[in-house]
Amino acid sequence: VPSSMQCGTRRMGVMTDVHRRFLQLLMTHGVLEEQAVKRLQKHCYKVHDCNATVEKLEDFINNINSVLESLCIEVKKGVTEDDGRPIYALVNLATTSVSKMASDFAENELDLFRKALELIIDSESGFASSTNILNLVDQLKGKKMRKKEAEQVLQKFVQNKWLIEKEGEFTLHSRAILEMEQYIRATYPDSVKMCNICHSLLIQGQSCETCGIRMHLPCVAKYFRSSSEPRCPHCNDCWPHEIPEIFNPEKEREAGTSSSNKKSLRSRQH
Amino acid sequence: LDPALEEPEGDEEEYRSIRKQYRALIYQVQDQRHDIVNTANESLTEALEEANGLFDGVTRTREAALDAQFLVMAADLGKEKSRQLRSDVSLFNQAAFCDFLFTFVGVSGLEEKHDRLDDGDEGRVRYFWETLQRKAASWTLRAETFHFMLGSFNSEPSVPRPRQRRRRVRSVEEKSAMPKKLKRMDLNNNQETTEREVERILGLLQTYFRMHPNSSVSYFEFVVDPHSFARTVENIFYVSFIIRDGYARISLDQDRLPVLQPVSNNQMGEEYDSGPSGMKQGIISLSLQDWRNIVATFQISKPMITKEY
Repeated sequence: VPSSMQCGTRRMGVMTDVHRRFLQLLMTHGVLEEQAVKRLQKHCYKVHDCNATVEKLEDFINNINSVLESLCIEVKKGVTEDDGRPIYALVNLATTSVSKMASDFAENELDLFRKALELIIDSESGFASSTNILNLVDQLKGKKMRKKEAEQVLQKFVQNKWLIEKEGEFTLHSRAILEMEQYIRATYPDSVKMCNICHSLLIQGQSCETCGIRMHLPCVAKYFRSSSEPRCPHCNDCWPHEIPEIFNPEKEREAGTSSSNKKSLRSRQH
Repeated sequence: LDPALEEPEGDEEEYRSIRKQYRALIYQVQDQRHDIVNTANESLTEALEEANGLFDGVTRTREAALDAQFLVMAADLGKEKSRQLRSDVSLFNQAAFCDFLFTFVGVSGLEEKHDRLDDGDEGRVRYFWETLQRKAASWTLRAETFHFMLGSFNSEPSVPRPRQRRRRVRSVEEKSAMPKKLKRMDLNNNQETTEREVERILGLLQTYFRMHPNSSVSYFEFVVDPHSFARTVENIFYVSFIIRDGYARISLDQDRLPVLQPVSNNQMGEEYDSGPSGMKQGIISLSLQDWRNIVATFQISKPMITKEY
């Protein structure tokens, strides 16, 4: 990225080869867990500038983001909905004529994704069954798609980390949520669900059976952390669901050698 | 006459020797024509180099003509060789390439086709791909592009869909009659389904015979499903296997109605050995109306063969 690019009033940081390598690797993966991101950063330093002190990750990323700002791309930090793991993803921020041309997917594939997205948002559990998605294949825009092809396209979405599949049902990958939250809130204002605690988009979560408010699983875990009798923050009724266990970086480190197995299990869920 | 145009005087012996060598070269190349074209060796190049050397001594047209003759021939051979080359290049031999890869990585024995890799092989497979990646990656300098979803399509105003109000959310299981995931199994395994059903029905029949020893069951009462004609036909199909394999016997009772009877173990062997004379075939034809009549006549209210699911 040429440093001469104009970017408005914010003072632009400077990217060295360390940052560039990091950015290219993050671009390749799309989304990464925080532990992996830290390792990646250290690796980039080792390759290009082994004597420098490793900058704090937050500052490192802010630096990169300031340079990317003019391109409407950003490294965003988020949290997985199922077990609260911190993740980083490189996301696009704007819809332009260029972005519409540069997509990986064809028109009918994108329409399939959009239909799946709508079903996921409308669903109660945050999951849309594959049969329901495939039944909409006849209504897709663009070139006619067979159901068999559609199954493969859905798998492509899973491989590229836009959707997660669990037992024949699909939900949004945390990467997709990070990138598309604003779009979803703007496009589906009536059907969209929000978390009562963190006030951001909710796809999977728990809900109060009395008043209907919803919370992310990690938000539930955090909110009810030390209460023996969890009660709904809105209507004070008993909270009917099991309080989930969420990711704890300390525990992972303690687990030592076994954590790598756990990690591979979890990353399959993502 | 311009002295420059005059042919230079020289050693006639030398000229004769040059002509002799040229002719020898031409005959030699003509002789080896097949080898030159079909083998990947340097013989054509060597011949050209020899002619090149000979040409240094050429000053008269007579020898130059021989050189030209050789050159034409060499050019023809060169063209044929290149034509050969092109046809080889357009054919990519996958099997040979795979062999090269295996030799390169140094792994043997992966060529045998496995339908499913067992654990032992997975390590070797991974090692194969990792080694290959290390080498191949150095040749591909292309960086990964930026992949994104937002901005690929326009946002469309959401169609106001008839949504149920989110009031009391009871944990109601959706009464989904459809399966959530398409299972591929059912389409391909017709043979297995038949076998499974036959076994299951045989089990039901044998249970009946155990509970009612020394009696037989009315064929129609057994196979007919009063709720489904299609199911009845399937039952007849499955029971026919049971009879064919000798696990039950079909015969007519005193009212000349078909009944199914158990076959004792020693009897089973007999039936089998009776040979071609013992084989009888029967065809049952059943129309929708017949089925209805049977249900009414025999007053069948419940199927004896219950559904599995």
